[in-house]
Order: sequence, then C-alpha cells, then structure tokens
Amino acid sequence: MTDTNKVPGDDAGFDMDEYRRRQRARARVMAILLVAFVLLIFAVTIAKMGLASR
Amino acid sequence: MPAEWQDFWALTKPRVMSLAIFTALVGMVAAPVAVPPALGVAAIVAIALGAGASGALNQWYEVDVDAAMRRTAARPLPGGRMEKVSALHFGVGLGVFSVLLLGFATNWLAAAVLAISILFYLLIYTVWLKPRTAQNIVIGGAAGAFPPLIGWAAATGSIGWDGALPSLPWMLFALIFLWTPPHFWALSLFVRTDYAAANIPMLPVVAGERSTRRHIFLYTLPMVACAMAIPALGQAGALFAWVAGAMSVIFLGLAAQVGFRREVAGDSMRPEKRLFYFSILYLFLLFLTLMAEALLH
Repeated sequence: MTDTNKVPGDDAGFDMDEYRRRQRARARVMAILLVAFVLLIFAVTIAKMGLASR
Repeated sequence: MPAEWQDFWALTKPRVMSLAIFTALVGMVAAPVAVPPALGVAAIVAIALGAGASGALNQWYEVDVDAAMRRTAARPLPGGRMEKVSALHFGVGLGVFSVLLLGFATNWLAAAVLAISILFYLLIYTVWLKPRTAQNIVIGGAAGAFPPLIGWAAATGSIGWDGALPSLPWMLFALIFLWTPPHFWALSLFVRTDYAAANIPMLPVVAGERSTRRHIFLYTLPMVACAMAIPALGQAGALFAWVAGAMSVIFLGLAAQVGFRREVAGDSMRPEKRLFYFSILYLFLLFLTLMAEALLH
C-alpha cells in the first residue's frame, strides 16, 4: 500500500501535493513571463522597423 | 522540492534592482537622443534583469557568508529553500539573456557595458575585493554606478567620453561611486557584528568604529563636490542646483554627526541609521530632479 501523497521510499515524508503546487505556481509565472517576452520582442521589432524606415 | 518562484525573485535583490532601474532610466531620459518607448522599456527590462543576475550570482557565491550574518541568513540559499546549482543556473541564464536583450533592443555597446557591470560585481567585488580588503566597498562601488552609463549608452550608442570636461553620464557614475562608501559604511556600523561573524573585512571590523566614522565624513566631501559640480559644469539646471545644494547640506550635517561622535551604549545607533536611510533619499531625489529637468526641458 502506497500513500499517493508521498514519494515511495522517501522516509522524510516528501509532500507530493506541495511539490505539485510549487510546480504549478512556477509554470504559471513562466507562462506570464513568456507572454510578456513575446509582446516585448514584438514591440521592439515594430519599433526597430519604424526606425529603419525613417 | 523545487524552490518557490518567490525565492527566485528574492535572489535578484529587488531593492538593489529598483535603484539600478531608476538610475538607468534617468541616464536614458537625460540623454540628448529620444528613445522609442518600446526600445526604452526593453532596455530598462534588460538592465533590471542584468542587475537581478548580479544579485543572484552574488548570493550563489556568498551562501556561507550570508548564512553567518543575521541580516542575510533567511535568504533562499542559506535558508535551505533552494539548491545552490539552481541559483547558479538562474543567475547565468538571466545575465546572458539580459545582455542579448539589451544588444538586440538598443545597441551592443550598451550590452557590453551591461556585461562588464555584471562581471565587475561578481568577479571584482564579490569574489576578489569583498573577502580581502576594507576598500571593498570603495572600488566595488563602481558596480552600482554603471546603470546611468548603460541607460545613456542605450539611448545614444556612446558612453559620452568625448571631451575634456566629464560628461553627464560619467558625472552620474562618479556620483554613485562616491555615494557608495558613506552609504555602506553607515550600514556597516550598525551591522558590524554580522560582518565580523562572517569574516568580511569591512572597515569597522578592520579599522574600528572611530576610523570608519572619520572615513564616512571624509568620503562625503568629494561626493558633495561631485553633486555640486554637475550644475556648475552646466550638466544640470537651477532646480537641480537648489535640490542638490539643500540635500548636500543635510547629508554633510548627518555625516558630521556620525563622523565626530562616539557611540553611546543603548542609543541604537540612531544617527547612523538616519544617515543610511537619508543617503537613499539623497540619491533618489537628485536623480529624480535630474529626470524632471530633462523631461521639462
């Protein structure tokens, strides 16, 4: 019988729920940063094209 | 267990980063070339990430020092909330990314200066000077002085080294460089037991409290001279001259109070703390005034 919230063989009582919560939070922040990055590069590209066409 | 994202954020030393952002913004706004908003935002983001990378790499290298100091013991690495290698990967990745972003968005001279500032903070200040000499904060102060120069370079494509008289970005560099010792020595007076515990040869640990107090006052003099030289050399207007003059008089007064007193048991080092916090306000107000003048011009 294995506790689904514990990593098998881990005597320290590894909390899988906490592990997943942290992963989800980090993934959410990464998603926001990636969207911000894409928007930033898009804006930079448009601005540089504007400068080049002057 | 993966570290929380908040720990990565803490690794970037957000308060130090905010000063870098602000001074870089002033360098960019004060430059004679207008930057398209999108490129300006990208440049500021890149400089912020570069400052964050410096902070992360500093914490990666100094984990043992931070663990020995009460002020820093709760940081993510000494607090045991993050693997050391994660901090290294994060710092290197952020540093490389920030330099590439700045180069792509503005120009490669600005990117090169940003790269130099990150390497200076890590190699010259953190690795070489800080554990070896009481002059660590004097020479290492250059690391924090780069942002206005980077902002200026991002806007103009040059570092303003073009005449006999020092140009504005170099005067701003000099101002932050000269401001750093009295600012950090005031801090080091009221946390000197921390530095002693970590074997960091800060001036109060090596030369004693009396010598540090004299140094604070003496280093305030060239800083004030530099601040006043900016309007005197025509690099700023009358508003800056008034603000810098008034703030410098107060700074000198507080520095003299710290410089020529002896600590009284149980006084909680109030004058030193007052000087430390005022020094932050001093730099902020001077740069804010410069930015206001540039925007109103």
